[in-house]
Amino acid sequence: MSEKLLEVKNLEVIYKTDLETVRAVNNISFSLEKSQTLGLVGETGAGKTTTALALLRLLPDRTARVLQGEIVFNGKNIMELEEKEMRDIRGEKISMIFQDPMTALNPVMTVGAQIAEALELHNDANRGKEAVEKRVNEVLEMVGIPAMRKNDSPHQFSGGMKQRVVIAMALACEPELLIADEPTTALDVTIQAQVLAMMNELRDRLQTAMIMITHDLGIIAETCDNVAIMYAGEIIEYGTAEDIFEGEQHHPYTVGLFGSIPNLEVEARRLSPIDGLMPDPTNLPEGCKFSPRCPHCTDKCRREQPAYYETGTHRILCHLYSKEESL
Amino acid sequence: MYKYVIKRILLLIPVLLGVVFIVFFIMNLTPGDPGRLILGESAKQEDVDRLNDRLGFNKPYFVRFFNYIKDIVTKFDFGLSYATQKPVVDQILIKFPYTLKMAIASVFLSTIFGVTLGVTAAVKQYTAIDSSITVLAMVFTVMPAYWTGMLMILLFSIKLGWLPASGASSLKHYILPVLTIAITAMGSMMRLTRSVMLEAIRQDYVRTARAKGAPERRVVYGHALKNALLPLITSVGSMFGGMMGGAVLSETVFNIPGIGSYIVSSIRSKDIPAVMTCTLFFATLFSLIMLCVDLLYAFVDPRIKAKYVNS
Repeated sequence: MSEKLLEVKNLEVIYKTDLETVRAVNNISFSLEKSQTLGLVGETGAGKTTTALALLRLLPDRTARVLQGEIVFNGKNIMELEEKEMRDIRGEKISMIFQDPMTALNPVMTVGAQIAEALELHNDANRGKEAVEKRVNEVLEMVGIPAMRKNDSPHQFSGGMKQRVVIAMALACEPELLIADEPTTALDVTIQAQVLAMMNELRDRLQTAMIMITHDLGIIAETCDNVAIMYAGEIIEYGTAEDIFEGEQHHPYTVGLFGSIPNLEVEARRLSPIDGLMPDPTNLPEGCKFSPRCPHCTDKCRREQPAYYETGTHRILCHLYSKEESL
Repeated sequence: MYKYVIKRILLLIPVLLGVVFIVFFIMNLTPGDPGRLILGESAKQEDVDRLNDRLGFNKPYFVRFFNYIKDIVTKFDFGLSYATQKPVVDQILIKFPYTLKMAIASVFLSTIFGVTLGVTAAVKQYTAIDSSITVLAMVFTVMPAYWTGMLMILLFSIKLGWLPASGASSLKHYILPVLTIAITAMGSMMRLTRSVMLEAIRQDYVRTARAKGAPERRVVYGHALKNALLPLITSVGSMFGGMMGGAVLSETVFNIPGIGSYIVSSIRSKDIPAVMTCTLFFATLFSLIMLCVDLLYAFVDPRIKAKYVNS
């Protein structure tokens, strides 16, 4: 086993306003080794993006509160760093690709200038102006954009090209960890495949660790070593890709997720979704958060918060299996 | 780009013709005739009639209108002021520098302070700093210039004796009037900046900039403010343009011989050539300033530049 790059322990984040408290991330833990890829899967509102923003300490400071938890990156708890030290990490050690490439780039700056900015902010090697420009050309070529286009503005690029620019910007400083927050959701399907293939290729080449946030299990299957499935701010199942895709025991929610993927070989007239809706994060149910929608729900599930049931690398947050054990 | 500028300058011609036509028409509706105005109440009616005839006042409206335009275009002649019998243009050239100096200084002041305070308020939204800036902006906006000016004279000229209260003979004389104009303009500048910045700092690219590790000052001024500039430029431009017509209230309170008081006294004495020329002058300057604003847009926002180039 190689060394741990990132370790998140008992992270809990809420958004507090005068009117309500949104419990976005509830006590999650996971870890990531160097040059590995972790998939964070879940529905909209499961707390995936909040988790990612917490890693960079970019949560909106007026409403968001980190109630507890440690985020240890390279042996340092980044929750305790000064703002200035944190800035040195952002963009250089950990960088992020955002969901919507249409709005993630500053419309009044040329793409070259935006990439160069990341390089100049983390200019440890003391690159001169020319060296920075050279590196900008390099990363643009790396993501498949001709270097001569660096003086163009974002509006001159298509969506897929913009996402390439965002990726180039994120990789410019060769970060140790790349957080990709639904990098392909805003793109159409053919471009999705291109961008994903490119990201995989670059990740392998640069040996970058990656957290891939998505709700697309297909993407997870293609890219990830480990998978965390999130529901209502909790990681309800965690394991290697093999555990998740081929294991025998699963959280009922995971089963539902897989069940809702349409299958080409079986003729079905309707899709089979998971009944019900994600619980209101301002008013989470007692006990297991999935209990109102769970087909195997018992009284115990409604009363008690389940504990993890662990087998090897595989962790499931459900009473179903612990019950079997105790019986 | 050049094409666009030339097109815009050519468009000025119909705009100015329209302005002249309307003002000429309005002045035509006012009672009184130039002969009587020039010669005075006690002059003989025959002399007045003769003068009116010589000035072409007895010709139909459209003939006078075309003659007026013709004189301007062919001879660059804007006519003689009825009151002083001197070319109006000379008068304007004497008065305008006062107005221009005041306008530049007060636009500069109100922009610098208005934008900085507005940005600060937006960044610190819902804090005590934000509330104090918002209240200050409100107070500045509701204080009329003549009242602010009067208070300043009371405090700085009469009570403390630091600054002169009237006239424009030295740099010191400009301080109070410029402050007066700037304070009034600053209020709206602060409010506008705050609201456009509030929107800008919520944009995704601002988060991208933070994720790059950019320090807060760079995020706010380099990324967010640069995107919020368009409405600010428009506002500063029209504020500056508006001041080209003079700040009548401040000029009156502080007794500064600028364009504003000139235009008002010309209207009062029905000095038609003076009013016409001032209006024309003001309209031209305002249009040119707005053209500059539009060109600045292209400089700030590449999307608009692309539009200009393609049009």
